[in-house]
Amino acid sequence: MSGAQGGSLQNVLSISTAANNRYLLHFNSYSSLTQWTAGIRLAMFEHATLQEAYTGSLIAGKGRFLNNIKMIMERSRFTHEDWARVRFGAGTPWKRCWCVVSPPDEKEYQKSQKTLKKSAYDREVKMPKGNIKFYDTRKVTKKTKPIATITDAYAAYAIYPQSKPLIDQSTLVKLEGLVTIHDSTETTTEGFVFVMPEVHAAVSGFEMLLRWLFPVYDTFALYGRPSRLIADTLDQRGLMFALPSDRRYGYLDTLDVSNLIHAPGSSNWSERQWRREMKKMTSERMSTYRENGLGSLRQLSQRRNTVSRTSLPGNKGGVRFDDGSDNSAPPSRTISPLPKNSGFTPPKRTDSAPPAQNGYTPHKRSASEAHDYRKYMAETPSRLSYEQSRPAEDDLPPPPPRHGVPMGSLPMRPAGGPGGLERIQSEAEVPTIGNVYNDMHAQAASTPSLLLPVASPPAFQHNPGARPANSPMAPPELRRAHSNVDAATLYQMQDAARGQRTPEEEYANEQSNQGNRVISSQTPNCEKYT
Amino acid sequence: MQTYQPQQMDVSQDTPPELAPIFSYLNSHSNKLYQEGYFLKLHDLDSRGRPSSERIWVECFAQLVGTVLSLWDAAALDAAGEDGEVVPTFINLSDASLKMVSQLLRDNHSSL
Repeated sequence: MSGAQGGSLQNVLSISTAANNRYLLHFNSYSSLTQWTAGIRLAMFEHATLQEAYTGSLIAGKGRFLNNIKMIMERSRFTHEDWARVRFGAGTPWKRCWCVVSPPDEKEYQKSQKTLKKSAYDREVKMPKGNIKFYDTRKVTKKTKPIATITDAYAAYAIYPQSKPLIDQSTLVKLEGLVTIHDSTETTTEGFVFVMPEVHAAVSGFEMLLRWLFPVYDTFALYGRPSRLIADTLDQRGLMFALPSDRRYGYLDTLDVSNLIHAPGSSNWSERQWRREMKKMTSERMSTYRENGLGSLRQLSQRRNTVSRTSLPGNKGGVRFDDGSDNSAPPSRTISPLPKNSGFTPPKRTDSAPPAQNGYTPHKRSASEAHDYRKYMAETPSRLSYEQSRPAEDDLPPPPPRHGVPMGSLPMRPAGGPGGLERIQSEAEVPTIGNVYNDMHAQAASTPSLLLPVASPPAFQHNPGARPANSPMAPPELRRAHSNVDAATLYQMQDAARGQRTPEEEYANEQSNQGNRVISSQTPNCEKYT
Repeated sequence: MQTYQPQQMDVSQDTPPELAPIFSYLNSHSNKLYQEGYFLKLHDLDSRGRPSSERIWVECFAQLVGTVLSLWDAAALDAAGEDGEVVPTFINLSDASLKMVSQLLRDNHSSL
C-alpha cells in the first residue's frame, strides 16, 4: 500500500526549496502523488502568472505618470549597465554585482525585422537575443570573467512586495532562463535569479525597475518587446495573459495539471516547458469558454465545484500600455491545442481530496485585510519574531528553488545600513571564504536523481483524504510571514534604495579580495523600514 | 476589466484603478486552498545541501494555501484531540522545483 515494494520506494515527490533545502514527500498511491504534484504546480503557475500580470498592471497603471516613460520605453540599442543586488537562487545571500544587459546585435535585429515584414505570423520569426552578465567589478574589460550569464530568459517580472510603500520602492525582479556559472568549468542550467537594480538619487524605485525591465525585455524579446508590449489577455506571450475580467482568477484546476503530468514525456519537461504547456492549456480553456459560452461554463463549474463565472470580456482587457501607440494585438494569436493523448486514464479524485467543495477560497478573509497596508506594516515586527522562533526544522528563507546557484560563502560587508541589524538565516548565509564557485557548481550539478537511500517509511496511520478531528488551519498572518518577501530581501530593498553612494562604497567591490563580498545577511530593522 | 466589480476592500486613494484587480487576485491566490491531506515527509537536505539531521519519515497533515505549504505532525494532531492545538511548520514553494521520483532506494539497514 505504501508503494514500498522490494528495495525501492515509489510515489515520492522531491521538492527543492530555499537555499539547498530538499524535502521528500511519500504518498500512499500514485493518484495521491499526482494530485499533490498537480496542486503544487498549479499554485506555482498561478503565482508566476499573477506576478507577470502585476508587472503589466504596474506599467499600465503607474508608468504613464513617469515623466520620461517614452524614453524608458524606447527600444534599447545599447548595453545597459549598472549596479544591482543579485540573488542566485532563492534563500541564498544577496550579492552586489555590476549588471550588464546586452541587447542582440543591431544587424541581427534589423534582419529579423525584415523577415518579420515578410512573414504573416510573427511567431515564426526567431528573434535574436542578447544576454545579461553579472560581474563583481564595474571595471569590465574583455578579459573580465563574469560570475554568471543569463541567456534565453523566458520570463522577467516584478515581485509583488505585499506592501503599498514597497511597491513604489521595490526594484525586485525575478528572471527565469538559462543560467551559466563561469567556473573553471562552465555550467549552464535552467534556473532563475533575483535582481534588484540599485536606485539612483532622486529616482523612484518604480522608475528604476522600468529602466531595467525594458532593456531586459528587449534583450530577450519578451512580452512583445522590442516592439510594443502585448496587452491582450488572450495572448500567451503577454504579461497580462489570462487575467480575467471577473473576480475569480485561474482557468485551470488540479485535474487539468494532472492530465499534463500523465502526458507522455512530461516527466522530462523543464520548468520553461511546464510554463509553456500550462499557458497553452489555459489558453485552450479560455477559448472553450469563449466559444461555448455559458453552457460550458456551467458544466465546468459543476465539475470544478466552483462558483459560477461570467464569460470573458473582449480581448483588450482594459489595460493600456502607455507607449504612445495603440494596443492592437499581434495577428498571431494562435491557441495551441494541448497534447491530446488518450493513452492514459485521467486521475480520479479519490485520495487526498482537493478542497474543491469549499470553493476556491476556504480561508475567508475580507479582502480589506490584505489591502490594509498599515495593518501589514504594524504586523511586521511580530512576523520577524515568528520567524526567529520557528523550529529549526522549518524552511528558513521563504522562497527558493534549487536550480539557482548559491552565492553563499562570501565575506560579509561591514554593516552599512541602519542600526539595530541582526542576522538571521545565519546558517544559510554565513560566509565561507573562497568557495563561491564550488558552492554554485555543487548546487547546479546536483539533481534529484542523486538521492541518498532513505529509511523504510512507517505505515500510513491516516487515510490521505481524511481530515484531522480538530480541522487545523494555519493563521493567515503566520502563513503570510512565509510567503512575504524575506527579511534579507527587505534589507536589500532598503539598502539598494539609499541612492547615491560614497566613492568608497562605489568601488567597495574592487577593493575587496577578488571582489567577493556578501552584501548582507542581515535583517532589516523593520521599524525603521516602515 | 470593464466588468470588474471591486470587492469590499480598502484600496487607498492613490492606488491607480488599473492595480485594483490584480491586488484582488493576488490576495485570493494567497488564500486559495489548492490541496490538503496526509502524506509522509522527510527533510532530505538542509540549507547547505548536506543530508539533514532529520532524515526520518514523519506523517503529516498538510494544506497548500497559495504557495505556502503548512504541515502538522499527524501524531501530534491525534494526541491533541479536538480541542488541542498543534503549531504547523511552513514551507514556501513559490520558487520551488519539483521532481516526481519513480524509484527511491531504501536503506535496509536503518529500516524501522
